[in-house]
Amino acid sequence: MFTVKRNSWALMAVLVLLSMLLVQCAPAATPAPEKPAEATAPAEEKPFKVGLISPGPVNDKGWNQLAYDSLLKIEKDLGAEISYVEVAESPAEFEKALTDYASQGYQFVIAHGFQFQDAVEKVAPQFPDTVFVTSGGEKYGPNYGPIVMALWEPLYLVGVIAGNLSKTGKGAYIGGMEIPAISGPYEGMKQGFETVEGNTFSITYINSWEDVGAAKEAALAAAAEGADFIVANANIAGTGVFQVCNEKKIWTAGLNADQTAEAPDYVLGNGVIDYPASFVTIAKSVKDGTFVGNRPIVLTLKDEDAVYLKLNPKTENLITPEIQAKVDEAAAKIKSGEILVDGDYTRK
Amino acid sequence: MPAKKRNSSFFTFINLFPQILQQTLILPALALVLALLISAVLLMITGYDPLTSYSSMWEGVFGSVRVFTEVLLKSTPLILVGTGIAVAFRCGVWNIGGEGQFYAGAVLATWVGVHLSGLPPVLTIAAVFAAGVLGGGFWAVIPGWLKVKLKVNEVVSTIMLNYIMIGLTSFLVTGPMQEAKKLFPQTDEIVQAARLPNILPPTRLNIGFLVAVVTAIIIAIILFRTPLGYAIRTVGQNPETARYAGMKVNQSIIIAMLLSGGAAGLAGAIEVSGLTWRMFATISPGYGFDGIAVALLASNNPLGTILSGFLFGALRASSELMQMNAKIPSVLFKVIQGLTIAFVIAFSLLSRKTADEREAEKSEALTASEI
Repeated sequence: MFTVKRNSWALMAVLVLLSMLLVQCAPAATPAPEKPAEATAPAEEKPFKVGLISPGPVNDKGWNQLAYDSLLKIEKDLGAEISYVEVAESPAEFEKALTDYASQGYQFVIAHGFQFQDAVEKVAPQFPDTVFVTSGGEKYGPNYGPIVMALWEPLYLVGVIAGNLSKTGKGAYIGGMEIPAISGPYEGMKQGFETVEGNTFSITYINSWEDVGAAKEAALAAAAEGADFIVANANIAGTGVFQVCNEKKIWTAGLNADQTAEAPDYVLGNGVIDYPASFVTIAKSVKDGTFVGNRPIVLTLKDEDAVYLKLNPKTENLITPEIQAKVDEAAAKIKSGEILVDGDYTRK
Repeated sequence: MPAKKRNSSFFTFINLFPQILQQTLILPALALVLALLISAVLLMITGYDPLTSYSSMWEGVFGSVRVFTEVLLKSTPLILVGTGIAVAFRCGVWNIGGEGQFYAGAVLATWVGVHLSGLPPVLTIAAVFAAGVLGGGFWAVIPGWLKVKLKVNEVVSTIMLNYIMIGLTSFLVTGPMQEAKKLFPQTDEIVQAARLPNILPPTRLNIGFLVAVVTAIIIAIILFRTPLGYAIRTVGQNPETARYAGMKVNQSIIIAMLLSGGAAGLAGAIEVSGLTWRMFATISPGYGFDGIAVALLASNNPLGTILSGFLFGALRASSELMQMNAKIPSVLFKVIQGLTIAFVIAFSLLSRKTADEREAEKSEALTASEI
């Protein structure tokens, strides 16, 4: 017992000494790379500083990655100085992170989620020189507002295509949870699908973003009721729906991104929203001083880089000139405002 | 023999301090210093400059009045949950359910805060606090009761109850308790009278921190200065002895769990009434689990949790500025936290061992001289 103790002490002592040694090396090593940075600094004007607050790890290949990729694109395209912080999913921490950025002179702060809107509403008035954008949400003011991607608009168009190709006239939408980001796109797609008389488009919520099995069950249930067009909007759980579509030869569609690869023979079209392109557009307006506040920042089909319909080359031949004409007409009417697509919760 | 003397001289020095200071101040401080030194090595290996990192860490704690108040806000739930867990641990009940109890308290407090109107602020806040204590306490008494009546292992039952409560909360904020607009998974805001008064505008510091400190002190008094506390501690050390001495073992366990969960529930109530003003599915970033570390760091002494809660609050609050300005990933920060806990546990074990050895030596010397 005694020797064990002595050993552990020796080990600890070695570790301490080692770490002390290395700490002493540190200052010598660091000044070198700092110098060139100083040399270039005076040449530049006041840097454009952009901060991102993400509610999870930025390398999650999903929601947070979208924001991080946007941030990198802002750095590349606009030469901005970027920084990000992952906050715990705790509303109490949001205000602190927002204030930390704004008080350090960041001109543009992206808060990546609707859940930040209360905190932004409290913090933004104290920092009129900073623009805050929440990804989703509904609250806005002179220097803050939600960025809302009108996914319902391209989905209306996919709905029109599917509604015309469907034999049973029944479609189904498997949603993750009942939040505006899921129910809004459903309403748009439903409106498009039901432009063909007699068609019905139903929705099932599985209350999960991960449960592939539940999504699969829901899709099978919809198929049993005769649906021949089934889509998913449930993050990773949605892969269960694509499995069913591939097995049972059921039409489907891609939501949020180009998901053609998930079911190459059955995807009729994709409603794509491009977050990086949208964020760069907004960041640019902030940098140029042309940002317009006091409104939700809704990106629609008119913002062609940000929100668009992408067809699947493999199924494109199914779209007859007749259907294509309907789609083109609908797109034109949506852009002109003649058709008001359901799902835009900022109008409510 | 000389080797042995040199070996224990460090702890002989440490043992000169009163035990409470040792446990709550000196050992955690030493552990922190060691953890920071080793983390500095890690930071360098991964290509970050420890000096920049630690200076932004310092900025994140003492940089301005505002960031310091943020540290206090962050410490508030940790102190309370840690205090609660310390009571349960003292009673020998491994309450891992702080997270669920925090949620339970927050849910009930929100419900009261949203629906109670027309009362003056003092009464409204008292009702919200009471709801938090009741919610958390109830959620902790369940595993306590299961333990004494059905001999269900409380580690398993408290962990399971965490999941149930977190799931229930997600259901409530998307269903029965969802905001009137039914837009987002959150409740409506609590009434104005239920919001905790701010004590240092324009910062967010509210009376919640003071409530946490006072609660820790009261629980320390209960634990160390009352017959009830004595019973709780005796049951924790040896339930058989306690029973033999005529103490009500089962009752002590239930009361310890009630106090434990009540403190966690109060933390939930303060989080809602002081900061967020409404309930979300993710109201806690893991306070219930961090609370365990806070209690361990304080050697299960409620007074010590004030300091160790502050320490963890500081670590958490400063992690953000480290990410923002020194670009340190948050995972590296968790490594620093983990190292600190590991060192504290190692230190307290070692110091206890040397203390025991000295006792043994003394009694050896005594017997030798008697002969």
